[in-house]
Amino acid sequence: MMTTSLETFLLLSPEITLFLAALIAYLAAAFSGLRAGWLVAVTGLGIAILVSGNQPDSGEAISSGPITIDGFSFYIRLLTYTTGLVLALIQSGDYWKSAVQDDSSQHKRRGTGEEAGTFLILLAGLSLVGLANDLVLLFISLELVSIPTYILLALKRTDAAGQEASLKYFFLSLVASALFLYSLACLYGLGGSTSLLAIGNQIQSLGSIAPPTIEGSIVVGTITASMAAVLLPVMLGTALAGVAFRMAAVPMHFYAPDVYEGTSTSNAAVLSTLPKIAGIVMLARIIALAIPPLGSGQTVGPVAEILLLQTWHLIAIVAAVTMTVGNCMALLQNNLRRLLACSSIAHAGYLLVGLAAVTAAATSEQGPLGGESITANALTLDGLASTLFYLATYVLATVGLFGGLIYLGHRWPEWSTSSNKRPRLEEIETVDDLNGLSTTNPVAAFCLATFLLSLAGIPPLPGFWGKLSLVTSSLSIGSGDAAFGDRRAWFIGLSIVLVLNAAIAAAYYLRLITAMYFKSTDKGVQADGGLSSGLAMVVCLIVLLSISIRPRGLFTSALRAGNTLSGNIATETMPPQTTQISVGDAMIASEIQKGNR
Amino acid sequence: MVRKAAFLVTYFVTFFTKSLYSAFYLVSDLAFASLHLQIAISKPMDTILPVLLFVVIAAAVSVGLIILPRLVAPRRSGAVKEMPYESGMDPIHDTRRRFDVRFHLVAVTFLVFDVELLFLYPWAVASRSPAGIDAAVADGMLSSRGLAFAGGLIFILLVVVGFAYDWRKGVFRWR
Repeated sequence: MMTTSLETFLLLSPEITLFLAALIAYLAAAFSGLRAGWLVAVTGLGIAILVSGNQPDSGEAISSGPITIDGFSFYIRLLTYTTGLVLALIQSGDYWKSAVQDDSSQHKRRGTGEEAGTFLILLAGLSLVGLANDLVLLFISLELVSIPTYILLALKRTDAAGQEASLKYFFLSLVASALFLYSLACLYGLGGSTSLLAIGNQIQSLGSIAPPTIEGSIVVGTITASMAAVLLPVMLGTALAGVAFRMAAVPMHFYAPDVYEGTSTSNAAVLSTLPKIAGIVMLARIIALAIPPLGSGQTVGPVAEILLLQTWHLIAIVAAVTMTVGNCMALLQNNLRRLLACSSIAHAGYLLVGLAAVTAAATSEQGPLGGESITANALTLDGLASTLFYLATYVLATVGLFGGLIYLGHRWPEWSTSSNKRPRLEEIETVDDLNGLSTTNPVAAFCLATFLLSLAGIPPLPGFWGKLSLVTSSLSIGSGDAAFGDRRAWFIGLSIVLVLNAAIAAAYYLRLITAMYFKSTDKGVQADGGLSSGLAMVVCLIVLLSISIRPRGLFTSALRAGNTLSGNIATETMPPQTTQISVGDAMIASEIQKGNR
Repeated sequence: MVRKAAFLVTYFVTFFTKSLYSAFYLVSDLAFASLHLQIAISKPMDTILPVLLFVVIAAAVSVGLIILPRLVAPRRSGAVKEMPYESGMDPIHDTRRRFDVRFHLVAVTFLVFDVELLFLYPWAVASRSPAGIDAAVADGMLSSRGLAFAGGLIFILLVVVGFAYDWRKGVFRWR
């Protein structure tokens, strides 16, 4: 069942495509001096999207070797590639124009082949994070996200501020990786296997009467519930620290403003979106370990129950603090990239609300994921699905916003190390640089305003639908016997914090819009950052508007993805390996499984 | 600028491959220790004895290597001898002193071969030993021997690509 075969590699064909494209970009840059690295990147991403196929149904999961392709990983994969496509356009923004216009080599920015290849490897790694069903693959793919990020940070901006930013990110990221690795070691110690399935089975059955023996796992000695009670909180804390760094959530958020300010705008766009996706996936996979199969009739063991309780309390607290801290910091910023960094911290808090809700729902009597069936009614989204939906809308608006800022910038950044005479152009650096944009560049002003309104959560736009589904999912948590007080009160409080924070956030988003529409300026803003980033901005606007007109498509997709995370375990644990399921339960389970397909 | 870019890419990639597998050792060590902890709790003394023995020997070796030179080594002092790096660089100078980037490049290209060999050893050993790839195929972890062979070849190909990139970027020219 866990055989690594040729099929495994066929399932990985989109990632392999990206790696091949990266190799082509590297080698072509080195051998023939090909400067069109981003062209290779865009082509590779297009092919990868084409070969990635259709989204599998909720209950369906294809497992082969260390990977699993289910609705969840497919959603992450597609989100990664589409975001990557737009980000590739944005990053190539300051390249195309100079390549077309002047042929003298000093005017061309160097190293585009390396940048493009590194970026492609980053995307492949991120998509592998979603597919990983094994601790080793999970960690390797996370490093495959981190290492290219360091290189991109170091390559794109080479002045002192850029070096400071890249070093700061590098060291903190190492610490975060080490902490997450420690949590993986704890999980391995508990499960006796690197397979997430086996570990999940082990955690769920701990404390139950008959521990199952899983094929292929090395169970040495007997792991008692008391040992797990020591190991699991350590695992949870270190894992959450690693996740918090990737998402820029509160205990590990402080690097974000400095790094975003110190690096180039396109790097800030990469940093504010892709690692967040990775963080969500990491946390969702760890939560799913303790959630029993959907509809299997299996009850959560006492250890898993305690783990879930601790998890949702911790996530809820982190979410509330993150939202508030991020938004309050953003109110004070004048530098645009710092402001957007604080805004991305706040959005990490919103994203965590949904994960807290899904974890809390799993501890109630009504079953995992709130026990809701998949309905067409968009407002009964469960926690994970609303997080995934919100993630997509956030990523879209943020990428578009950064694309717009790069489009309005120019292709000679202030940190360019060339000794040539530079054109004196204005870089969009502070909020005041946006003054009077509605008269100098009305199209860009409209696009930026729409993205900002979506981030603020103004009704017809997708950001509003995302926040609405987050609030409804956390309000749908019923009362239960929580160890630390009434669960319903917790989630009502969390919803109130979320809504209040949305109001705070509107203040600084509207400040930018005010600058663009109601202030005047004597200097014109140069739109010299390259047409492709302008194109990326317009594409984001069109997708954003089409989602706000018809959010159902993305909703159902996110819903299917959210429900498969535990459904995936359901289809995997059903077969004869787990012996403790009685025949009747197994029959019911297989009926449900058929129904899902 | 090209050299700088090439240097940064090769430096980071190889350096982090290195730190990646030291991270691996950390995982395996911790996992190993926790497994033995379980054994220790569930089983009698004889299974934990090797672990204890290991700890004792490790401690003895490191303490011994501190004490032994103090007893045996000759002591001749002098201005140069007192310096932290006897034959290396001057320890007290401006922190922003420049030194040749070629030293780094040599170190990085060495790592390319180093990493390659480190990964190829277990692969080569496992292909012939009965407990290696054959056992993995028999257990159903792998579908065929050919896959493991192809995996090794792909790995070599990737290293060769890195090597060709280095070569083309002029890393091996000492100028």
